[in-house]
Amino acid sequence: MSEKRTIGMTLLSDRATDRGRLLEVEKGVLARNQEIAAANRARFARHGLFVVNVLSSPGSGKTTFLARMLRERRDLPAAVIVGDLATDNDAEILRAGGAEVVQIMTGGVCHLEAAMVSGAADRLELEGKRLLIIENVGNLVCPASYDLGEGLRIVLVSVTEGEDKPLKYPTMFKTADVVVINKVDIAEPVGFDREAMRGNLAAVCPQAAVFEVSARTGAGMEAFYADLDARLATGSVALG
Amino acid sequence: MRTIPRRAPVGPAVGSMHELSIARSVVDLAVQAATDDQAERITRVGLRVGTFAGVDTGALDSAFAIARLGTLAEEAELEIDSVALVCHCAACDIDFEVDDRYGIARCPRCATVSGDIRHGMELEVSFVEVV
Repeated sequence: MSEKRTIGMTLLSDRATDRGRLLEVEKGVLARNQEIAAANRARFARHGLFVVNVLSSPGSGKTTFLARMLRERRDLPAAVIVGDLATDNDAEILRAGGAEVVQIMTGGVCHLEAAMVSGAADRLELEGKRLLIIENVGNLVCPASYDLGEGLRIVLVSVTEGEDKPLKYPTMFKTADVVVINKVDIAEPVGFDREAMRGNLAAVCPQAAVFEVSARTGAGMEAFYADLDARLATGSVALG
Repeated sequence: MRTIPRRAPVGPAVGSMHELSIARSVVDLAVQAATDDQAERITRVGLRVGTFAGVDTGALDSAFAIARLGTLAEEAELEIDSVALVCHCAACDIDFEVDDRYGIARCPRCATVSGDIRHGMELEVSFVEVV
């Protein structure tokens, strides 16, 4: 089913003879980003780095989740790239977890691109690190389209956001390797319908492994770590 | 001074920076192709957009009207060809089109839900028409 829509008005005649020459282009609009992402991926592989792109809405608990992980998994030397619209609060919190952190202040740009990650990586000591975590800008729309050179895409969603989140942002969830449902410690008081959320995730993104955690209390983190360790062991690199 | 005819924005008006940056990339690719061809100007740009590419075509329209200004594509029209979501069912070994607004890809033969996307995430410039 293909729908054609023409935008703008042509100043030319409709007669084919008066129209111009057709040049076949066949180029991905984000081809440049994808080239840089491929270069990032090769560079990270040379350093033996496992790269994780973490995405969510604002306020889902990405920073709290990552801070706990860095604190509890000090056995995995980590570097972190944080995308933030304007502040450096997140970077400070993560630094406290013991990781080397650089921040990309996007100045209002709604997503990270591969070139920004490449520039940020220049400011990090990659040698000797095992994990490179990229905390993307809080947004479930725009970042979905930009490959950064990661090996694993984690989408976080919290119990306060509504069980229909996967239905509202299917593109993002369809690109996820792992979905982490956060803040399960307050699931009951906020009336979280666990079955509905699991059902929506299974329908929209059957490919994703799903974990239920509380980054605040630490509940459920062990299962997530076990999955991460298994991926590290096999060097499983998703997203080509 | 000639005025450029422009449509009123549809849907979320140039809402996210994302569509504007995509529109700029589209214009860059089109101008590059036109320049390589030593063309005078661009009259039409063909774009293929998957229904699950994460791009709002209404916002992209509006963004294109801005991004083209001052370039060889200043008078170009944007033709968007929308591509449906197609998934693959491993059990039945078939590709099937998904007619669901949420992109829930249930195999028409065995009803298994698939996450194996074959089409519908495209975001490509297919052609540029120049004079």
